[in-house]
Order: sequence, then C-alpha cells, then structure tokens
Amino acid sequence: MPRLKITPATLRDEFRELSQTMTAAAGTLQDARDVQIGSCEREVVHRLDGLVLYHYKPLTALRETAPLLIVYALVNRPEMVDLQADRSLMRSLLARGLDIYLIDWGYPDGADRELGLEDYIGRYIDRCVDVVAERAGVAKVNLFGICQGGTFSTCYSALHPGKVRNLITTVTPIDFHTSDDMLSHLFRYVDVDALTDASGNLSGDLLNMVFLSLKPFRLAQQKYIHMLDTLDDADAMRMFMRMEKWIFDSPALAGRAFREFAREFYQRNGLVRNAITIGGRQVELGRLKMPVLNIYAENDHLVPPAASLALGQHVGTGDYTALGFPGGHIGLYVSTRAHKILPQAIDEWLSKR
Amino acid sequence: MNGPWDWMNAQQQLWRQWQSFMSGGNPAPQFGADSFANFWRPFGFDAASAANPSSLFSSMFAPWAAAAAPQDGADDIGRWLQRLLEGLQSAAGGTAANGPGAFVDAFLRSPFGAFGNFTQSPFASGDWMNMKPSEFAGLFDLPPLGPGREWETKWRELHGAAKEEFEAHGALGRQLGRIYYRALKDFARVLRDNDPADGDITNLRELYDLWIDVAESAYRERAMTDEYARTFGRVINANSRSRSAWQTLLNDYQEALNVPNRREIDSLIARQMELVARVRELEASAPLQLAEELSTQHTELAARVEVLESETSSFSTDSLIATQADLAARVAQLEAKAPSFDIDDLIARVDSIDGRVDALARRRAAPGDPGVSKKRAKRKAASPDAELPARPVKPAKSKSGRTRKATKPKSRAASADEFDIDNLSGATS
Repeated sequence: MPRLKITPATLRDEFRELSQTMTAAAGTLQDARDVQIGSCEREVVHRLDGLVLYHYKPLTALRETAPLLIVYALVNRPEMVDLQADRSLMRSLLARGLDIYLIDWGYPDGADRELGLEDYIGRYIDRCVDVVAERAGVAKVNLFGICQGGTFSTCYSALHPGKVRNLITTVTPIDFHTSDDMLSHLFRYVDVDALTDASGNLSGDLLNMVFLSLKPFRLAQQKYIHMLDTLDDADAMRMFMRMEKWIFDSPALAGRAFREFAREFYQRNGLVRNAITIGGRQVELGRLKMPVLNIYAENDHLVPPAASLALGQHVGTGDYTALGFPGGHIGLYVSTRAHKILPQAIDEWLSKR
Repeated sequence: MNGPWDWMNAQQQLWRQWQSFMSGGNPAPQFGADSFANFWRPFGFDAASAANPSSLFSSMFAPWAAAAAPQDGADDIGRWLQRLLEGLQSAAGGTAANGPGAFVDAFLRSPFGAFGNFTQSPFASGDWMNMKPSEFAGLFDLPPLGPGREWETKWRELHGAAKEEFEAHGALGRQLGRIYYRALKDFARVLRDNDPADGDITNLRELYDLWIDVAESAYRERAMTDEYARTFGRVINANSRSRSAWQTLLNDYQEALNVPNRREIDSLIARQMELVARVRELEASAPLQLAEELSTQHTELAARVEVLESETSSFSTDSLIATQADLAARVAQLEAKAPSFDIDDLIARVDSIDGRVDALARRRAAPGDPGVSKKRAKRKAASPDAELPARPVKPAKSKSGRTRKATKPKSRAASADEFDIDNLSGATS
C-alpha cells in the first residue's frame, strides 16, 4: 500500500491532538447543551388549525416592493432560514428592506392525518397569501418556496397566478424521475397506501431514517467524526448542535399529504406531466406567467440539480432565471459561502421586478 | 441458536423484553392485573394461566410462530432478535419482570387468553403441540373453524406478516453485505493503486475519509439498482403489513373491552374532514349561489315587467313618455298655428257679424220684428261694445313663455257650442 504514509510518529501526534481537543470539549459541550434556534424578532399574525403565520420585524426601512411569503417544506422546521444571527438568510433579507412573512406548519398530530395537499396548498397557503396581501395592501405577493415548499409554491402559483407577483423556488423538486434522484428511486416500489394506512402520519423518525439512508456513511458516521475537530471551539460546537437540533426536530408528515405527495409527485411524476389536480383543479406549469427565479444547489443529494432545473422547460413565463450555488441541500442556507451570495442574489433579482 | 425452538425461546425473550420496555421498568400496580383477571373469570377464561407474560405468548402466538420458524437461516434470525433485544434492553434502561404497563399487560393478557381458548378448541384433543414444525405448517393451510375463526385469521395474518418482515430484512441485509464487500474491495484497490495525483495518506483521518468516500460510492452504486429498490420497498411494505396486522388485532381487543381505539378515531377524523370539506364547499359556493339566485330573480322580474307592460301598455313609463312627447309635438303644431287663432278675436268677430246681421234685420223689418232672438238680445245687452270694430288680439302667453292654448271663456261657453271650432278655425286662417 504505497499511498499509506502513516508512521508511528504521526499516529502519536494525531492521538495527542485528539486528546487535547477532548479535554477542552468538556466545557464546550456543556455550553452547547441547550442551544436555541432563531435570531430575528417576529410576531404571529394569523393562525389556522395548526398553522402559524409569522411576520418578521423589519430591520430597516421597507422597500417599495411586494411582501415576501416564505413557504417551507412539511418536513423539518422552517427555523433553518434563521438558524443563528451570523448564518441567517432571514436576517440578511430583512437587512435589505424586504417585508417578510413565514408559514410555520406546526407539528401535525393524529387528528391531522387526513390533511391533504388541497388543504396545504388550496387552503393554507391561499389563506396566508390573502392575509399577507391584505396586511400589505397589495394585490399580489412574492412567494419564496423552499424544497417541498417550493413545489407547493409552484403549484399554488400555477393555480392562482393572479395572486403571485414573483415566484422564487429554492432546491425545489419539479421532475421527480431524473436518473440521479435516489430518494425517488428508493420509493419506487414502496406501497404508499399500505405505508400510510399502517402509519397514519409518517413519523419524523422514519423520515429521518430515510434521509440518512441516502448517504448513510457520511451522515451517520463521518459527520460525527468531523465534529471532533471542533470540540474545542465553542461557537462551532453551538453551530453544530443547532444544526443537530434542527435536523432531528422533525414533525410528522400528515398521512394524506404524504400519500398524495409520494404517489402523485414521486412515483407518478405528475407535476411535469400536468397530471396533478388539487382541489379538482389541474396544475399546469405553463400558467406560471410571472417572473420565476429558480435556485438550486450544485451538490444537492436530496434534490438533484436536474430535478430543479426541469422547471425552466415547463414555465409559461419569458422571465425565468436559474441560479446554481455551490453546496448541498442544507448548506445553501447555512454555509458561510452561500450566506454571502444567496441573499444578495435574491435581493437583486427582486429589485428589478 | 439452533432449530425452531431456540427461535421460539428468542421470541419469548423478545416478548418479555418488549413488555419491560413498554413498562419503563416501574413496579406493576397489581390491582390492575387482578381486576382484569377477576373480570374474565366469570366468562370461564383462565386469566391466572396468563399471569406469566411468557406463558401468555407461548399459549397464543408461539404455536404458529414455531410452526413457521424457518428451517434454514435460524441463526440469522436469532442474531437479529438478539440485536433487537439488546436495543430494547438499552432503551428500557434495564430489565424488569413486571412494570407499570402491567395494567396494559393485564389488559392484553386476558383477551389473549380468551383467544387461546377459542383457537385451541378445534385441536384441543389432539397432540398437535408435539407435531414437528414441518408437519404443523400444513395445518396453517387449513381453514380456521369455530367461533374464533375470525380471530385466528387475523393472528395468521400477523404471523405471515412477521415472517415476511423477517425475510425482507434478511434480503436487505444481504444487499448491505454486498455493499460492504464491494466497498472493502474498492478500498483495498484504491490503497494499492498508487496514483501520484491523489497524494499520500499521512494520518488516520485521511484514511478514514477515504474509506467513507469509497463506501459511499459503493453504496450509491448498489442502491441505485432496481434490485435494491425492490428490496427496500419490500422491507417497507412488509413492515407496513406487520403493523397493520397488529393494529387490526389491537383494535378488535379494544372494541371487545369497549375501549376507544384507533379505528374509531380515524373514523371520526374522516367524518370531521368530510364536514370541513362540505363547509368549505358551501362557503365557496355561497356568493356564486346568491348571484345565481339574484340573476334568476332578475330574469323572472324582467319577464314579468314585460308581460305587464304588454298587458297595460298605457301605464308603462315608456308608453307614457312616448305619449307625452307625442302630445307635446301636437301642441307645438297647434301652437304654431295659434297666432291666427284667438278665441276672443273669433268671438268678437262673431259678435260683430251678429251685430251686423241684427242691424240688417232691423233695417229690413219693422220695429218689433220677431226675427231677433232673445238670445241675441241678451248678448247685445251684455256687450256694450258690440258695435265697435274688432280689436286685434295677441296670443296669450303663460308665465313660462309658452303660448297658452286657446280656452273658451265660461261666459261664452254657450255660444261656442253652436259652431264647429275646427271649421271656424279653418275659415279664419
């Protein structure tokens, strides 16, 4: 094995360094035990069933533009856009004078298992759009969808183009049958109805296991080995623990919504075939006549770039922009590099429209 | 582990461990167990025999489990169960023969015992418990008999589902084994094939990261095959089937004890959602419905007005307006002719003619000539100016400036009745 140049001396140094780090870790781990997520002030402006609509307090004078409504995915929590002050997409956008609202889907329980996509898209998002528009005194709002929330926002915009001024999607799956989509591949032979019947709501734990299974060695092992490098760095450990808390604070997925999304979008790839109906109305991507900004992560293991970029082939608008950013599915929002360029890109695009 | 009966023992351990896990390791409230035992005793069910959870399991689930214990691969299953046991042991924080969930245990125990009585009845006199698993398996193909046949069917479904789940996990394990094998093989190759461009590995961290890269690559390559996707789906589907079978039985037992269960809650939720949908439908359609009703009413009213107008056209507004306009035009026409038509002037002229006629008559006749009528005499007495020449009369005008229509003075009404005004008018024009 000629490549191996590990000597007893290097091994000794490595273990000595690790030992020193572990010693310092006692304090940093205690400090990082009870981390909190979120840095921006916000107020509740609307509640509907388990949903909460937040309005974020402006950090500067508001610009003359439509309010921005952020639609997050049903999996995980939306606080990821405001993880901590120096890694907050929310804070950066607020500092640029945007008026921002965010939908928090809450934690669905057994009583929510019959909530379907018609409820989430046709009822909840629609209601939030109306509330935001009314509060801002405008006819149209800017929709900002994240991951599955981007798919929802896309569907909503196609159903209600008159209410959406601009559509921004980030790491959003549109074509669910691209050749590199492992999540879709693994779900191909799953009996979604049987799974939903047996599970009711799909638990957050099960979802986490599925997501971890996409990169089991890296996500379940290597990540924690690398954590050792930051054990003596209090800030880094707090950041790590916030990410850990966010990742595994996983709400369940309402049974019917999961059933419909997994079957119609993932298994039947209905969105790009205009075969999705919500509330009896067909979702036609060609009805997306408003300006569209489609942001994707170049190393996304959950939503491959091709799955997002498919949107450009189906929209009906001539004002379509696709922007790729270095990083992965989550890093797009919290990595140092993306944090510097993503808010600016969104701001510049919006300011021209 | 060897043989199906070892597998059975493992199952019983699993069952005990599961109960310990559910109980959280707390002491059992004995009154609960007793109360359930007392509850079932009058029904002839021997709850006492179910005091030991393991006997409960063996009396109910074990026979079928034993019958279907695979002849081959028992060691794999044993190891899988052992891992599961260790996990449960760890999660429960230790072992406990009894726990708080003993109330739940007791709740479960009695129905299980009851079930045992039912299901054992068809075979009670036989030596079936001593049959070899391969021989017993044949009994599984027989249709269930007796009043407990529905319960037995559900237990069979659970057994089949559990067996399928074991096999599915085995298949997935074999897939993962291939992945590890491939990863190790690739790792060795990468280490062996020295590529200067890759650089040297000088510490353990680099070596570990290289292993992760290789393993992840091997995993992805395998996971993206159709075979792996089928296996993955099989595991999920088998787990779904197994949980559904458990839920079916639990729901049935809860119903037997008049305890609310998942099935009822689901039913209520479904009804609630139907109502929500109905309310939304009504809310959405209300304005439209109202507009349609108003539109219908408007159409009906319009039709009614049309009918009324056709029936009583003289009373319709439009008709009145048209009539008024027509009348105004006629008045204007008349007024255009009016300057030469003044009734006072006309009367004066008539009177003048009368006076001249009278004068002629007096000249032609002697005094007291009867040719002069009393009426004319009166008229003459009332008009001292009768002999005066006719005065020119301008058309009278109203306050609005419009020419006043010719009117007949009351004092002269009688004389006006004696001639045709149209002829006079024509005569004087």
